[in-house]
Amino acid sequence: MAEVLSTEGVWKGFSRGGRWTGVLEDVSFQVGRGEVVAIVGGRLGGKTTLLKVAAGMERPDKGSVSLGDRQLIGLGDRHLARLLGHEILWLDRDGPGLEMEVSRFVGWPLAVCGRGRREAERAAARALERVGARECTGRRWSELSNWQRVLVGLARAYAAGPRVVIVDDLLDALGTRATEEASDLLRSLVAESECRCGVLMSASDVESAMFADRVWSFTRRGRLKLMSGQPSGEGEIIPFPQHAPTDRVPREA
Amino acid sequence: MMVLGLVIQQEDTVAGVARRLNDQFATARFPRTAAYKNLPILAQNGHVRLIAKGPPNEPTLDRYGATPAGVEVLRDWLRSTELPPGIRDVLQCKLEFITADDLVAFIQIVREEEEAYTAAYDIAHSAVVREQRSRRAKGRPQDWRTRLRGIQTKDTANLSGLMSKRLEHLREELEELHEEISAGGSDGG
Repeated sequence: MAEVLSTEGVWKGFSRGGRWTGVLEDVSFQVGRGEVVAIVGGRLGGKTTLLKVAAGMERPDKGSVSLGDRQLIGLGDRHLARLLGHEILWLDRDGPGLEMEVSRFVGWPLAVCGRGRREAERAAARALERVGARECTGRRWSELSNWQRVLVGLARAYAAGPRVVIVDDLLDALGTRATEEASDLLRSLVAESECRCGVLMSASDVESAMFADRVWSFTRRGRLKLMSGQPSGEGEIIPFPQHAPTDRVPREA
Repeated sequence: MMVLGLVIQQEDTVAGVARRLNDQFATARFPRTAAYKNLPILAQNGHVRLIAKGPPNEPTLDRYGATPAGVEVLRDWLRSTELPPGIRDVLQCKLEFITADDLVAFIQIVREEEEAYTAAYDIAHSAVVREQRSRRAKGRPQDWRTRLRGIQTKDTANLSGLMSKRLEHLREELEELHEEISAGGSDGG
């Protein structure tokens, strides 16, 4: 499977109170074309930092990040900014400034890459229709419910047609049915791009990542542990262990 | 109660119920003797009845069926709650007793359980993703049993995923404690 996004041996830390604290330790993963990959970890654990590094928004202390065959590390700010609006799309719950109008927000990636205001508006209208959020047109971000913000964020991904969509905690704690609906929209996004694009998402719990093709656990020590799905290009089947722990079930028959 | 439920699902021999108990509740690891011990008791209580006696000296081939009283008992159980539910967690119990000398071995046990739950999550999660593909291709199944099975699969994935994450946290905390003890930062007593 061709990879659209790849990180290799990424390390990242911050200085806190004069002491260096590692947030990412030797993190490597890939997002293949047509894949939805989830990173599951606790809040404030460093998932957003990991996603920002993958998006090129933050530079790692060590390691490499590539979009297709292009290295993101070392690219100039202007080049990165263009990639971010066009080929890498970032979605989170914060969205734009609270007063930005929804259609403008959805069409923004097209407008900044020179497609013209009219075309951006038309694409935004189509995308809002596609995700079932037409009623949000004309409203401001601050006026939207959480679920509408999810839909509008996904509409932005539909309109922009990026190579990678990076979704930071947007699908968290939506409840089973809404998670299913949002995941279906993500799947359709991937399918309608003819599997050209991939999705990298973070989640605080396993339920929010239920429909991803591959699920990584982000550990407290800033490492990744594969929970489900095969790493890109590998097909090994993990056998169910014979010594499955089950002592938690009362043995009353 | 599982033995009674299985007989209500279908009439069966003692050996058949024992096999289904093992198949349908694999992770519960009920004792092999559960069906053999419980069916005669359930019969005494009038919750099941002997339908056909097996060959002499082969009580495992005795065939049982449910009685209306048994159906009522199961229905009552299905609708009853135990709050808070009892959790018999062996690791929690062991935590009560371990000493610093046991810590390394205990961390290894937690790691093995974590891996087992991760593998169980992988299997259940893959089934959820397959169901999602099928639903997207063919629409939501109409048969409520199939729907229920889908919900059960998601719940299994959730449960094993949560357990995997819980054990990952427990292991990491214990590893940190072990590092502190090894560095002389804690008395380890």
